[in-house]
Amino acid sequence: MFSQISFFKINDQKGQVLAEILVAVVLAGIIIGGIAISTGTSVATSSKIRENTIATNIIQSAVEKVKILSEQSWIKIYCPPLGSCPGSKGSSNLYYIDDNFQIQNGQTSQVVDGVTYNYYFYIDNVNRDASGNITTSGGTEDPSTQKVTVVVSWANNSISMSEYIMRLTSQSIVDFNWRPELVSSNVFTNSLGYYAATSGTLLFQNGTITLTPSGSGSLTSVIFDTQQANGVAFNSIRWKGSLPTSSHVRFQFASSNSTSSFSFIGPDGTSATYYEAAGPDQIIPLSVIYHNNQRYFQYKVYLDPTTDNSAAPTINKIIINYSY
Amino acid sequence: MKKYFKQKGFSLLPTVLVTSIIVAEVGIALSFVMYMANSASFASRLLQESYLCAKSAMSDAYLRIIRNKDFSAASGYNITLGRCTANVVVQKDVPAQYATTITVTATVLNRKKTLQGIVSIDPDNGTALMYSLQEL
Repeated sequence: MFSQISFFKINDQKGQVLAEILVAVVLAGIIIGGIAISTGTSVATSSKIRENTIATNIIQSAVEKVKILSEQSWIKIYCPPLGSCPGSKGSSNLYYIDDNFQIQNGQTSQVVDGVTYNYYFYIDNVNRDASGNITTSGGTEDPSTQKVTVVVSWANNSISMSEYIMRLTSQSIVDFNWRPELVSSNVFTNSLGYYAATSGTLLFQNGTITLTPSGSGSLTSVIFDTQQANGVAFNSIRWKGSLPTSSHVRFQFASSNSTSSFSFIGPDGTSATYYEAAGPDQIIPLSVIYHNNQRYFQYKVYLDPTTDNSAAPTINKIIINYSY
Repeated sequence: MKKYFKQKGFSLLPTVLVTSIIVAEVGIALSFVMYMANSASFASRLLQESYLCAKSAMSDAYLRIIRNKDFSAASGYNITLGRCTANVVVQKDVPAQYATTITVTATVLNRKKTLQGIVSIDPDNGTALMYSLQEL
């Protein structure tokens, strides 16, 4: 009896061990299986992290190249790929910058750690509203602002980032100290007191220009050369002097890539309108879209006396600002 | 005989359980580290986006000063570039006369990048030159 009881107990104990082994194996299988999946995911994630970081670096490098090129020659970015306007823009026109710093059509690739990254950029025009704010709808094209988007793709992944690139040089030509005897149709790179023509009752007084207040008059400047072969964007005009109440100083501006073709126009691009500031030393923004990528310029300033013809404005300096 | 079987059976299960717990702990730690690394990588990408956005906004303010030496926006204005929004503050005659300070804070999701530039302005001819640019 004892041995029978003992036998059953032993059998019973054996059964428990087997069950425990089975439970242990199942538990281990579940846990180790989960860990294996987790580890596999971790390895895959690690690889993806590395690839994302490399792709981000490629974007940074590509954007910097575009920026450097824009500083060397804005027109190549404004009119890609060759700098012949209007060029081809939008997301269907893919470019890259080669080792010679030239824009090429299509995309290029870079292999890092055995992974091939294809990348390209495209360029979009940017509009601004009347206040100068960048806008995605409406507004007027700003030829000194472009949106560059770089796209990097590899395997089944893709990243894109954008940056606004702008024409950020600042130059000026200051015209002053006019002399009545210095009439010229030549081209000047800075002010030497020359002018091209006058009309009406315009007067020269000690290097300034003014009027005999009985009537109006105008002065046409000489042709100025910015010496930028690819042209510039003319930003603003400003004058210094005095403006008696009810008198006027107005401007029309002409720009060209030749020294023989000038049309004086106002803010709307026609000869019917004029640029005018409320007073001296105030910025008059030029309509850049009409004076973009041009090398030469002339201005025409119109002076009107007070309504009772008792006084006239006086100008001692005219300043033209531009970017290239 | 009875004791022998009992000990054998009970020593295997705890061993497997303890080992599994250790492996599980390592796995969970590994997963957590990878999650953190993944987050860091994503944050790095967001920072890159915010950096490009901040540079865009800085250029915008600089261009406005080039076009108008008197340009000022003390209360700030916003520029949007994709999912990034940059706030631009332009303070005229700060830190000195004939200088303008531009402060840009670009935000992508919860990542921020702040740049500050100082532009000197020639009061006579109106030309502008950025002579300082730093990340805050």
